[in-house]
Amino acid sequence: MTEVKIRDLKEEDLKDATNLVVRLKKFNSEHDPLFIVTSDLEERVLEYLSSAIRLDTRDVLVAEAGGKIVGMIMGEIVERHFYEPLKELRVTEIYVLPEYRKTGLGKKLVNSLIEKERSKGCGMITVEFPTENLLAHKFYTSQGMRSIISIYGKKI
Amino acid sequence: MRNEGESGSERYSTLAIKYAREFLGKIQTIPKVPVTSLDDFSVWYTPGVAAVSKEISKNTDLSFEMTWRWNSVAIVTDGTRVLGLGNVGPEASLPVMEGKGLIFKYLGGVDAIPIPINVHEREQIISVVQALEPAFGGINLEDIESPKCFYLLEKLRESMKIPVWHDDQLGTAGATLAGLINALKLTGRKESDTKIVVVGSGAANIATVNLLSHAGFDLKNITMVDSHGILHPEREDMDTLMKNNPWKYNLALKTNGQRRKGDIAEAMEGADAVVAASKQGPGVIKGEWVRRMEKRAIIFALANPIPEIWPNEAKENGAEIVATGRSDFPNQVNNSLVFPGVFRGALDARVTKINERMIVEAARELARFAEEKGISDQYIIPTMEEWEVFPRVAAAIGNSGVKEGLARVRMSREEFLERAKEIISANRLIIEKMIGMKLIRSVSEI
Repeated sequence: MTEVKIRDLKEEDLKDATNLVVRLKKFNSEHDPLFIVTSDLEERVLEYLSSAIRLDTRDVLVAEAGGKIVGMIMGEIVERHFYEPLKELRVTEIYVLPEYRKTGLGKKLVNSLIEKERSKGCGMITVEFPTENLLAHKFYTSQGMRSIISIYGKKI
Repeated sequence: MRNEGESGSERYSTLAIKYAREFLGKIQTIPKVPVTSLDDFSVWYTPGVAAVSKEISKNTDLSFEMTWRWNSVAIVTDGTRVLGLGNVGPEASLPVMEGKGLIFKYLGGVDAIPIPINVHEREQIISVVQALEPAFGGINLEDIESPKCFYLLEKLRESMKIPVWHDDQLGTAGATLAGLINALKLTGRKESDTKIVVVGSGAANIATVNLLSHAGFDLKNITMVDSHGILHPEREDMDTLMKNNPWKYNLALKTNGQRRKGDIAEAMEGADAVVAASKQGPGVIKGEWVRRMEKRAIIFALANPIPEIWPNEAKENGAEIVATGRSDFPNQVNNSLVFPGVFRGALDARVTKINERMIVEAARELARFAEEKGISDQYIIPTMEEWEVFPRVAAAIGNSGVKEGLARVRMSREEFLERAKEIISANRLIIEKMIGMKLIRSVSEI
């Protein structure tokens, strides 16, 4: 398998990275009806990823293999007013193409983002994913993380 | 060659209903010990039988030597995918399971008991099947929907000490491999570099591709197609497959080395062979696509009753060898060629498992049998009438079970062969005699 490099998202990566996040969002929609995707999902994802290039509190790293984007991770810096540490790195998106799974790339993406955000003062990492996504649960617990908050919801 | 078979099917349906009512089912249990007076039950039953129970309680393996367990198989189904009928429920699956039991008895000399169950959740099914272990020498899972069937087979094979088989997967895969082996010989191809297109990604074809891999075929040369097109790692539904059907997901990663995209037509371009077990044809595979395959193409169109392409259309478009699932065309790829002999051998060797290497051996033996008789484009696989093939398959399973270290009875291939012949012919004789003595009525009397 070709060598995989992890680097910051660039303008020219936006199309490929959007495709990966669209896949992730569609997969989320299989876990709960409250994650049904919007009809203009692609445009929204593109805008969302573009914002990461502009904003200092949002970062996207991509994994590149042979000139192709094969994985991505997106994180946001969240202020925690009442708790230590005061700054949290929240992973909002992570996706690796099937062929590059089980190669340790997911772990590398997480660790690379941790390194980057630590320098911005983040002292902890969290991640959000649909409760029913057992594969995600398995992955994050294998990275030494645990469930620290629950979000319950219903349609109103 | 005939291109319609529907009038025949209708006639069989009418007769099946008529006979079902007249014969009140298809199988029964009959004793194998002499009973001349009620006194005999003091031995066959209480008080004498308690001594046998005590022996077995000290060593449960004796249940294989002192009861019918050595020769008994449970045919378990939840009725969720019965033939081509779909989810008709466990009661409606019973006539099919009885038919299976009849084939087990007639072709393999095996006492097989239909057990349709009224549970559908996979962990519950696992509990039920595991609970049956003390009563049987083997488990035959039947007509259970995909992908649940993969999970059940995997978990039950791991957890039970008697062989667990899912005929819709393994039986069909074994017969397909046997046919392919001879088709490749006839067309001068090597297993390792034959390019195969697999149309349909249900239980049978997923198992077939796995078995081909164990037999030495290169997964990169295999392209699978399902209702969404060619399977490849970047397909939109890969994450859904990862979650719901990891068996298909894994094959999507490992097959299709050329990373082709498209549908059946694109997959067949330049292929050597097609194995289709998808939806009823004709027209699922088009003649023009066969023309774009390599010369001396091989087509297995296994949908029943109407194959994906009629044999004459495939031949007119350049196919050299055509197989179907039907008995009225040459080269019937039929799991009934496999499972009676497989279980005969598995029970005689008292194996704890029937693994893929053993199934490959059984398929090679099936192929060898046909080769010895003389293979041609009209005969790549034995027919059901050639009953000598079943002891041969049994011996292959017994012998490979010993080699794999999975057999609790270690005999030579010749001994397995002789034992299988003896048991199968004795059972056929019982049936013949019962018919001769009118203990089983002739259908002409009905």
